Amino acid sequence: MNLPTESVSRIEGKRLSMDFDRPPAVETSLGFFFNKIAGWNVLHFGALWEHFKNKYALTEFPPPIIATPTVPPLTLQWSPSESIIPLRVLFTDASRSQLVQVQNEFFLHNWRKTDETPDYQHYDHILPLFREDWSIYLTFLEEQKLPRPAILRSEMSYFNHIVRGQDFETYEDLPKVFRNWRGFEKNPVFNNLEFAAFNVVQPVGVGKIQVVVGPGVRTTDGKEILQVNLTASVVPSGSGNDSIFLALSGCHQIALQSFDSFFTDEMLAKWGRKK
Amino acid sequence: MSALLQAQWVPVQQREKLRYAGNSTVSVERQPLFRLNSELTPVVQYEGDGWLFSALAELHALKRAGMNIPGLGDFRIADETMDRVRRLLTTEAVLNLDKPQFVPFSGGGLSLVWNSNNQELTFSVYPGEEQATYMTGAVNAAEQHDGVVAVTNNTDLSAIVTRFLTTAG
Repeated sequence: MNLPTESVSRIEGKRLSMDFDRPPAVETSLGFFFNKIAGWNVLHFGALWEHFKNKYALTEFPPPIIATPTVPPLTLQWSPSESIIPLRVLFTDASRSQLVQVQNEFFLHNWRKTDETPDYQHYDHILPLFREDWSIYLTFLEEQKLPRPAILRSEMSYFNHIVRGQDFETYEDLPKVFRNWRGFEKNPVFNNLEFAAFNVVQPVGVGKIQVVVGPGVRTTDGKEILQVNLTASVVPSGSGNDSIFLALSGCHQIALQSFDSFFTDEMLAKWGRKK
Repeated sequence: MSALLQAQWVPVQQREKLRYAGNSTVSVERQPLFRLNSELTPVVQYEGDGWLFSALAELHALKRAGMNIPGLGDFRIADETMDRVRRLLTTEAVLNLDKPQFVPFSGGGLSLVWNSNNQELTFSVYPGEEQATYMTGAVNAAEQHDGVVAVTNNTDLSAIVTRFLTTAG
């Protein structure tokens, strides 16, 4: 696999980055998905936290998530003979903006925007934090005599909020936001849209990008938004650190290129892309 | 569940939600406790056929129609009122109810009203006020149960809604 290692990509001679005055990203996530670790049980979450406590002193317990690629149909099953019901645990720092997510099928690092830490955190800043987290996790597995994870894919996601009243006013404005949305010009039936949601999957080089767009209400401030979730995934050539981090770098490149290719130049300028 | 990613759920855990259907019928809605992605920022998603979508569309219509009527009042709904009403609408306690009736009042505020079996519940949201006022009791009765509540305090909101549903029968 021959992937660039720079954090800034180029496409058609144009420098790509997530440098914006007002980036739409409210959260990023990166890490690895793997086969369930044989022997892992609920007690390991607590024991693992002991290794992270100095860095991530707080915990949260959101609902567990599906770990397999989101291609419908999906079937999720659990039987009483399994040693663990699906459980997801977050270890967060005091600001609750940097955290790790642990579930038996994945290990991720998230940055999320908060009132106390509103500035976007770039990949180059987060990657060394994640490398350290991953190293702690592998050391813990070894101490517990649990097997090293068999990696299924490296993945990186950007979670963006397009705010109604700021980035767009009505669904008639979608052609100004998304390159793939032409709109219904002078259409006798489809005018004055009230709702739109769509899903796009595109192979990119050795990986894949999935974009999910749908409306919602952000409960922290009551704003009506369009959620635009970009997820890039790459299957690494092996489960060793060199392979999986190279694949993660590939995810970052794919995500940058996809972000630039998905939103219109008008939106990129509106968010204040820095040259 | 999102229409975009149709998954066949075999739920491990189920949460039963009592749903007020507006005609004294209470149904039980089971929701699987799983998510489809690793996003943590709290967002309530909706689809085009639910009451939340209809309520949000009605809010936009009311905002557009608001007018300042000399001698009568300023019925333009303030932006901060809209944000606060959306926060209230997307709490678990209120999502358990049916779609409310919206009543703008002078000064940029908005009331949300539910009626059942001669019992009424009203939340009133004011611009510039973090808290909403509430009132519940028999319609036109002198005795009402009222107070103030933070629009995101689901615990207190649940208590108010439960009281209303219990008295409404």
